[in-house]
Amino acid sequence: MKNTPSFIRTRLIPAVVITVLAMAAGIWTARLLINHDTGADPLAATRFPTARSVQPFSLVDHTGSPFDNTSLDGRWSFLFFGYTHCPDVCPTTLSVLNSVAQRLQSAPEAVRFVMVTVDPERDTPDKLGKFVTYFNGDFVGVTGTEDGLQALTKQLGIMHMRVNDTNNPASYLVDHSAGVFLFDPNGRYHAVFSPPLSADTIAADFSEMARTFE
Amino acid sequence: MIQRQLQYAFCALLLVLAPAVFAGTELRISNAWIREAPPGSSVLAGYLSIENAGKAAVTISGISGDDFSAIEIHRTVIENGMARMLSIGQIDIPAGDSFVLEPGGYHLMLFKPARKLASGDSVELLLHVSNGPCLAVTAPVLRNRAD
Repeated sequence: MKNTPSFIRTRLIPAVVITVLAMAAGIWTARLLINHDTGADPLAATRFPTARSVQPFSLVDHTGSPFDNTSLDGRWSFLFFGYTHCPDVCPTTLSVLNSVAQRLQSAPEAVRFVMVTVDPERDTPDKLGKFVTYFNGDFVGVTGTEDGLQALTKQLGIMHMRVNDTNNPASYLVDHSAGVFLFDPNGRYHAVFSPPLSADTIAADFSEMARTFE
Repeated sequence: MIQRQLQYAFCALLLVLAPAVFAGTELRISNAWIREAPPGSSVLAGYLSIENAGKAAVTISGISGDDFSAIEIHRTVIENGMARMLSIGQIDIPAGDSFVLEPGGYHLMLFKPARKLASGDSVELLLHVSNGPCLAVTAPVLRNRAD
């Protein structure tokens, strides 16, 4: 029994201390590694470490004015790709973007919201204009030729694919990228918001990105 | 067209007979609404929640409505960032389960409305239940559902 206190002092206490320290170090290292692996960006949006410049493309907005890469300059732009014959995702996204616009009304940054059609064959400027301004009078609709559209979508990695309805050839659908793409005031591709989209999250993430933008 | 009218007649007959014939099935519908079509759109989207409070599984084989040329059940699927629409033939709901049609997920595609439908209007839909009576649903047309 006489040896017990000595054993506790010389062996057990150091062993416990070492174990606790090792565990703490392990947890600390693991957290560092996990944070490192996920990038630890507090935003829901995916932003690029370096914003990507956009190569020239040539489209037209719903008023008939040219819409090209220089049209993205001067203010932040939210781009969404959709089409007017899309009854679920597109109206839902435009409703969310309208809510984002309301939330950013008092923000210091100037913003624009643009829907680029992935169905230029059916979406004329006039039709597109009526569609987008139904959600918000300031929204811009953009259309053009299929080649003009590809010049923009390919470089952004945005896909769209026509799906024919065998029963009704006139009512084809278009599968399309469902994200919202953010361009900075220098016209560079800055970040992407992936679905499910939330107006609160988009507005908060945008404000944070605009705040830290140089 | 005649086939559809017959379907309606059959549904209506079953509705009358329902309490006697299908005592075991019980479907509860909630949050039914139709999204007002933006200008130029000839397809509307409809949403609803269906709860099967009965003791037997239920299959909804289709949905019809006088105001539309056709109604299909679709599902929006987002894979690798791409939104795709899949046509769903029928809805199976196990006993005690619910099935939700909501924006960005399952939804009704309502083709070519016969009249102009605006916020404040309502439409009648008929759910065809393969092992139970048809179910009439009144869905309001809304610009956007309040969050």
